[in-house]
Amino acid sequence: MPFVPQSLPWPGNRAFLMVHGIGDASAGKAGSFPDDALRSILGADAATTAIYRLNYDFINDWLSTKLNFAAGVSAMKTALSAEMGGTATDAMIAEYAGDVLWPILSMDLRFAVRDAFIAQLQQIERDRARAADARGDNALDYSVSILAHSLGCFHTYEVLTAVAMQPEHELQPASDLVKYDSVILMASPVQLIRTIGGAIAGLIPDIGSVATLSQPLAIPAEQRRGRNVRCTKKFVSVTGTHDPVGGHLLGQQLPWGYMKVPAQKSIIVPQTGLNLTSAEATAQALAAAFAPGGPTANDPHSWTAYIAGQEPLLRTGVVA
Amino acid sequence: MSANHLTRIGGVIGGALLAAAPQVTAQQSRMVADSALIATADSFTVGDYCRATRAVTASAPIMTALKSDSTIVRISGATICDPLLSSFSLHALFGGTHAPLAAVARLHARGTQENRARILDAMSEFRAVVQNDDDGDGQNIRDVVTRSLDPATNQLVVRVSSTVQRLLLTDAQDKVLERLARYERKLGPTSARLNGPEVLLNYAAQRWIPRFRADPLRGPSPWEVIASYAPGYVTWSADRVQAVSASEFGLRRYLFGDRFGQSGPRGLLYPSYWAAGVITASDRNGALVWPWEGRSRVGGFVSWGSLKVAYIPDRDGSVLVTKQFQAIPFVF
Repeated sequence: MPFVPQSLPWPGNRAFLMVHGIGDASAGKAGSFPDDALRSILGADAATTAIYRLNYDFINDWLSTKLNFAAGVSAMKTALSAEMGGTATDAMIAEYAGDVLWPILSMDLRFAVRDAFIAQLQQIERDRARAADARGDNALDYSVSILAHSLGCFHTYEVLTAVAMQPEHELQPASDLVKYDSVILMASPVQLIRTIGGAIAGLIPDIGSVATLSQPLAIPAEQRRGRNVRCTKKFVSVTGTHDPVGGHLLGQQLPWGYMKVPAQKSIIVPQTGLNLTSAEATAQALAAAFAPGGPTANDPHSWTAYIAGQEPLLRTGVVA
Repeated sequence: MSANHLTRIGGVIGGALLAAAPQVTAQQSRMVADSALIATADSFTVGDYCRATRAVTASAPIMTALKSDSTIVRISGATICDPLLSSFSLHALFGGTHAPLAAVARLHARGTQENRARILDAMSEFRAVVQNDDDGDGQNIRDVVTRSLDPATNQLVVRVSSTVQRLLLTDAQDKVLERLARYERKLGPTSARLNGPEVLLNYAAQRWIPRFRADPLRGPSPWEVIASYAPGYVTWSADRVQAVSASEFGLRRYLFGDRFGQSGPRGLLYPSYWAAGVITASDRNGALVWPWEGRSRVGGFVSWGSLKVAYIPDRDGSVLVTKQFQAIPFVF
């Protein structure tokens, strides 16, 4: 079934693109997005906001099926004589390990996810122009924001860097005037991947095409006539004090795990109320979040909770 | 941008200038779906775009605000105001419909493939400068243009420049979606499953052999390495059908054409891939026989989709047939 980017009518002059994270862990069940949480935050503005959703799991599933990865995990466990649970556990490990590993180790998957993302961004631009033209407005007065979670932050960073530098996609911030109102990365593992990927750099095919690994972190930008034109006015990182994916453990920031892009706006959410007082409790909360059934009440990585806590940012673009 | 536009124009110029019945490409078929865009692109000509540029260059407040960028706008305007192309609709400029006959005659005499590419580049440059909301010195040029032109002229500037951008975007998206369809062909449900050794071999191939690497703009490599144990061959020997187990080493090539990648009965005619390589089998027939057992023999195999035929000379039951499948996932 060929991928068809989501196309929406714009009820107003604003749109969000929500980019899903790893597997189903972002929102609790298969393919779901916390757009209810976003609509709730937007209040009356929700009715005039187009909310797009991008989930690239179907591409991960292509490769997972092609490589019989779940069977591979079972074989590996058997070889290691590891006692880690039954076939349901194998499938879960296969899904999440694959979601994280494939974009790094498989060029086909990396570029396929990138293309699906690019096609979605192009569709949003087309929808924006169509809506504005129909009303006699200038499409450039209509705004688009990107809201990504977890591994979706990595793909967002990679794609925005690629489209800012490659003219073929017609999405460059200076040449094509495609600038996002804000790019909000929630619990971004970009630095985590940079650290781990750096350690296995020799194994990564065409590492030069992975912006996270091959160049210093920077807000994606186009160089045009000596000027550095960024893809967004606001590049925001939101993470919790107890979210390891976002580079924190038990209230401590992990320098090798926390994404620090120069000029980013940083929001660190206090998560002391989650009662995570040990590394084991954190691991258990995360494991429960990734298990069937989805995030639990004390999940430090919950996308829904991140959104619910960022009303000023999401409503008005103001970093509180 | 120039090379990109030249390639695009190179592709469409034949249809616009020479072909009596232009081919319907995937790009055009998708563009047809965006009927509002087509109607708008038909309603504006290159001459209209020229009028928009002249209105901008004639405005002293705008040209003052543009500072050094005013030169870019003047040069872009001069390029867009090509009298040979002024009667072309924006749709025709992209090859989406026939060009005006009189213009075709003039163009044919001048061979203006490069002119069209230059015009598209100039249109992109013009928009990038006069619709910019930050010129680097904190000045919003778009606001200056809106304030300095009368509403109708400003509307013309916005709509013609936006229409060209939408056409460029549509074309770019078509290329991305075609590339994505190729990835699906190679990785998706109609592709061949890989076993453990093949996973490692193909990973190594894409890591170290350029021909096996995907490219962000060209898409996936069509090639895949085959190294498998195939226990499901059958042959005719001793007046009966017998199972044969074999090992295969070769290459698989994915077929990225539009008609290929079918499943079901049509997949027999238009599969996702073909393959060829070397096959080894023992002289002893039977399922799950070690291929190098006894006096093993070497031959060749070819496949068209999942159907495979092999020939091993000097063997009792030299012609083998099978269907691609994995008996034990991840193993063989």
